Amino acid sequence: MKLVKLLEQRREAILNEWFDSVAESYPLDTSTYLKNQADQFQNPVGHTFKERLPVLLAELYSNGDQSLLAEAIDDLVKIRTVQASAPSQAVAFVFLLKNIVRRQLKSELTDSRLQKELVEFEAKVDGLSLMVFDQYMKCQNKIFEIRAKEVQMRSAKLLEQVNKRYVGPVSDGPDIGGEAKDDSNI
Amino acid sequence: MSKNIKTPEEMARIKFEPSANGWMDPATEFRPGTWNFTAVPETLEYLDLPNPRKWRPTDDDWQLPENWQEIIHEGLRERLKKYRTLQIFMDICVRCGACADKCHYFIGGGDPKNMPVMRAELLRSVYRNDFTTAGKILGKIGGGRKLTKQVIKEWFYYFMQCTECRRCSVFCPYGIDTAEITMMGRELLNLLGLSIEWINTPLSNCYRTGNHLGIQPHGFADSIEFAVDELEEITGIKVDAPINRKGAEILFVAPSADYFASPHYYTLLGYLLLFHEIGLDYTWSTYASEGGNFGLFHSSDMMKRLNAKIYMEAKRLGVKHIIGGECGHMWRVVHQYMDTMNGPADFLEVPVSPITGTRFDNATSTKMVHISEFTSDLIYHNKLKLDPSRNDHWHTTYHDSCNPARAMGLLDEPRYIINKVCNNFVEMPENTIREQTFCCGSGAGLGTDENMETRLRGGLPRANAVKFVHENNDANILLCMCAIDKATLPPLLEYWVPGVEVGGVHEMVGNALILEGEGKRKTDLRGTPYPGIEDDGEEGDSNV
Repeated sequence: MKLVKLLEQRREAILNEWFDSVAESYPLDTSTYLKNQADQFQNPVGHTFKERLPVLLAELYSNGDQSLLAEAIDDLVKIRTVQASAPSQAVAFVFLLKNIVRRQLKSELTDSRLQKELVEFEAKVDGLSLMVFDQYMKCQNKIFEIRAKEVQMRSAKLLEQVNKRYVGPVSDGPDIGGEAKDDSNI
Repeated sequence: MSKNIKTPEEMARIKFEPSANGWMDPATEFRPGTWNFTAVPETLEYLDLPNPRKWRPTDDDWQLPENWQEIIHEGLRERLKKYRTLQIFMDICVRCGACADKCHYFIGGGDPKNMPVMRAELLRSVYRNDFTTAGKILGKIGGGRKLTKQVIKEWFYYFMQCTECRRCSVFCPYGIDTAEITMMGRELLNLLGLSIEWINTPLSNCYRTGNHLGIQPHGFADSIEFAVDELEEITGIKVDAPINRKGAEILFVAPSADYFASPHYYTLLGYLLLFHEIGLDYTWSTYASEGGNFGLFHSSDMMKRLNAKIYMEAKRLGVKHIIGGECGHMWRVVHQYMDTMNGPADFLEVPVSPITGTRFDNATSTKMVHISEFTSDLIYHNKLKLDPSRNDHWHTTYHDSCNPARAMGLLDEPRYIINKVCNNFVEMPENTIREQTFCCGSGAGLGTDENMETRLRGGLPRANAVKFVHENNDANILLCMCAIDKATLPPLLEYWVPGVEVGGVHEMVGNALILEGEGKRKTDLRGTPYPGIEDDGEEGDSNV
């Protein structure tokens, strides 16, 4: 597994280029800010990418913690989902890694024995992209769900009152108020 | 190689500027999830507003009046003359960039035109071009832009992506209030009939029946009765909740969401318990049944009309002063605009707490006291018996709602109350609270479901700070003092930080408040059984 060693050696350079590429996918003023604002609360987008991209890279060439991977994908995709105007725009940041790795390991990759490992690595990048796409769809569904729920909650107590007054106990009917009471946010 | 298929590098690009010619060339893409439904003609007609018609931002033709440019120029000229602040804000900005990265929409979304300086520049460039000598001579070179229909579309897009939260103003060395620039921008748009449904419908409802949903007096009375019954079930005590009672000492006005929405409703229960326990001589009103003033998001005229209703009702009922509930923008209107619009309210008395005797000199002119000022004063003078352990299932954190915090400086009172009624409280990071608080991302009439993506982007900085205390301190409820927050933070947190609920300060007060003659409570105000209390009603011993 020579490639893994090389990836580990160049880890920092690869991650820096990956982060810069993601930041540069935004307009110039924004990418400057994403790169330079170090405070995690003033720059949650930049901070999340800085913290979470390394988790994805590590997972691509080693067996890490599955829950950490899921968490990292979730954090990254939530952001891109609400920013992107197309699904491709939301998930494309993963694919950027292929060219970055090829660029970073350009001289070493002339060794033909590395090609097989590279193909395997890039297949994992494709797999990760599909996982990211799954998460994008989950986020989209979540948005639809919370849109519908918000409309219900806006007049939840009113409906509960009307139901109690004119329909009787709400246990057999649509229980919007009851839901509001016990489970208003989750 | 195919020219029809782009590379991942090209496809990853988040574009906010459809025009390749930079910001001076206005071009706006109205994609789903980013804009609000437009006002229906009936609501404009009801409020005597111009150009009622059906239209959508995605239409090519917005059916503007024929002389739309003249209307805007005249409108801007009138406002520059009327408001010295606007004239100063137009002239004084040196584009230092202090505000640039302070807006939650920019931080969460990344659109450079959401930098407050840029958003203001959308209006300022037209001002420069058409109202200044330098601009008239230099034109585009001097940062001037011609007023075109595209500029109007851009105004509509970006002035509906400002929640008027004023975080940027905190950082402006000149004190430019960018929220007021948005307000002026929206006023100008309204002259052309360009408003949104979630501003105009609540406005016309409020004007017609006194509250946003258009609930009529008997519906309001039903809601309050319903709450009284529910409180009796929880506490065994029947509280008195007088409505439209002439001669009461105090008129209480709350945002209408408190009596019909969740989780606001639990705050209403808290008010009712509190007023009962201290024996407050007060009344609700069906005419002033809305604290929220959506006029603030529309125009000064509308703001004035709605604010006047509260004072007219105070006069009609003959009260001495007013207490206002957990509302956001109501307080910006009262604290910063009411006095010169409808005040001073000389027919009322300077508020004095009937329980502690404290005189609220800060409300000398408006005669209106914030509920958290009132309650913190009660607690300070030991007038309430409290059992904070009734809130032990909550690990609380506090979101400074923008308007009470930044517009009226209510920073310590809510914290004082929370610390007295809850055992578990943790602050979010310093640069995300108090004056620097991050907006919910959905205020100023933008809390609709159709623009959810924009809201989720704008709410990211707030949610990010909540996530921090959720992960590090187990915070499981975000308290706040604003009806819009209570409506819009739950979906925001459900997306970004699942597992954190939203509640009001007076919900916590209601839980902790020990009522004279009550038995042990089996549930909190949400109906959640306390630990140790069996389902069959047997009492445990872990709670009072």
